[in-house]
Amino acid sequence: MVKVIFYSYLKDLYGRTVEVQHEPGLTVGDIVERIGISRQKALTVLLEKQALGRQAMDVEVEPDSTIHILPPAGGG
Amino acid sequence: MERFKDSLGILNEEQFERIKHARILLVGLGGLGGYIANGLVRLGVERFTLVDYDRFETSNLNRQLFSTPGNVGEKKADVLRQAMKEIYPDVSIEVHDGDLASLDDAPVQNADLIIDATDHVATKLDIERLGAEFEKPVLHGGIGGWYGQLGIITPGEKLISALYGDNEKGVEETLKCPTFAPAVIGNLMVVEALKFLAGMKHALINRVLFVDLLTHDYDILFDTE
Repeated sequence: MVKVIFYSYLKDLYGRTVEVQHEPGLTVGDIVERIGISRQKALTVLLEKQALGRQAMDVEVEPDSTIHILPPAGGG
Repeated sequence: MERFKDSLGILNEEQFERIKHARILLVGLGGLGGYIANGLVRLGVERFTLVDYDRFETSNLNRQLFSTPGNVGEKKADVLRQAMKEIYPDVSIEVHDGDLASLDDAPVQNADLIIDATDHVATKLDIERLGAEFEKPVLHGGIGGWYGQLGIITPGEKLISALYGDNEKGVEETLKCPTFAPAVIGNLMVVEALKFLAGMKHALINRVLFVDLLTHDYDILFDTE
């Protein structure tokens, strides 16, 4: 399984934590699509606690990983 | 020292002296910046360069600490300089009435900490680059709706870039900014500035604290340790 943890308003939409069945070659983009999120949506994704950057959707995920998905706040 | 005695329960003399002589470059004097300026000057920080070319507007009244109906239309930098001087007359304040690109090198070179209290993602990224160029740490903060994040970024660590990615705006675009958001996140930034400047343990160095005031979830991510 892969654990997905949501932050900010995404928690209201998808819940705090969602688990996705792992399979070989599973990518972050596959995971978000299974949850119902477009892989085109601009979100910040971390694998464990490390940011994945702009290529996040193409990153393959290992079993028992945790990914964090969040929209940052840019106001001041 | 009477004015600072209630802060000295958590600071020794050496730490207080470090704070007193620290030089702060504070970019953005709105929601976050107002609370940060207020907190740091009351802690005893004496040297500031304030950067903001904006003026107070009516819409600022819901959340910006130094915003009043009487100063709508006045420059934020001027209002904050006067207010900080009233709070602590010994404070030394330079004001840059322009954008970051037009700032001289000296205030950056002399800074012990650059504080990102801006409300534009592009400027936040510029601040990160500035910190890297001049090898200065950056205390980052961002707010929107019930949410916010903060952390100290050391030169060369691109956590702000990683945080925003290709986003030109954050959740504040739709969730706006309620009264309490800059107060909470701004004062958390004061806490981190204090710990960092005083050389204390547990500062959020290359870590980002995400704050959810709706559910009271507090999470530290981007942990490079």
